[in-house]
Amino acid sequence: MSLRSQLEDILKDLKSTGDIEASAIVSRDGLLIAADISANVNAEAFAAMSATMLGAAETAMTELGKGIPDRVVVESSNGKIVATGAGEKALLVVMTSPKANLGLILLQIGKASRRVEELLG
Amino acid sequence: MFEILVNEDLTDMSEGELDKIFVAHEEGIKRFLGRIPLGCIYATFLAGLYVEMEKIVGRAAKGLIVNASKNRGKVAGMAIRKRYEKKYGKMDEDRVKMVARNMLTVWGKCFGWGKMNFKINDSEFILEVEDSLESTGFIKLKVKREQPACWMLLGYTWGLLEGLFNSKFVGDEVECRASGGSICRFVFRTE
Repeated sequence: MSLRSQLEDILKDLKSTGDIEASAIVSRDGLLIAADISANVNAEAFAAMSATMLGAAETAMTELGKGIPDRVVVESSNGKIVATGAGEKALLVVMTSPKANLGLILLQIGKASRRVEELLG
Repeated sequence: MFEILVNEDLTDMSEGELDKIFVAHEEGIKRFLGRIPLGCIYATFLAGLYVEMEKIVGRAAKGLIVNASKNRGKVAGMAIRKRYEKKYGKMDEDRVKMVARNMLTVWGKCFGWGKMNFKINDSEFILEVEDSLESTGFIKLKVKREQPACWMLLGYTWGLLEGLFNSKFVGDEVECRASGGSICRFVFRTE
């Protein structure tokens, strides 16, 4: 099985847990690696924005002496976006439904990001 | 000018010859294609801009520049293809490749983005740049890069090819002078 297929399987597994509407694996420099996103979303722009969000948060936290953030969570009335590191090379980003249980989602994301890290390093 | 761009192979033309065709000088303003104002930027400013962006958003700076450049390259490629098709009918693959080479030659020789060479076969479009503006900027700044750093040229070329060919490509800069290579080499393949 190709690396890309294995990464796509991780995203499919995430979606099957429910409440996760879309997800993507993105390189730390903001380029798309794999995505499970509806065709009407610009996945490449989503990837760049997610990496930028996490990168900017890292800079802000580091400048304030608070260390590297574990994740960035953006909430709106229509849903949530969670971006988290998945090893040295990648990020995992998910988009959830508005009523998603954040604790449960973070647990799933944690497991998935470790699988991504095992594959990409 | 458009007719020359899409009908003649420009790759062997000199800077002076290309300037005469594509760059007009009017009342102190340079204009590309007779209408778009052109300005120069020094290489170290461009490289310095990337370094400053990295200070704000970290490694994600690359994704921002590559994606934004890709989108604009795609707009240019699509506009050329549509204008050609309106006038002459469908653009065949050989012409698409020639127009892509021509556009990049104009970038290289008229806009100063480096001396560009092309290696094109059925599956790959390879662009080699001997002295890319972006890599030169990093070298002059004495900033050694861990990874290839010609983000704008990567994105623009990638988008231009997608727009001209009307299909998805995968692309990367596989060698860069800024990270110790002897040349900047970009490889694009259809997805």
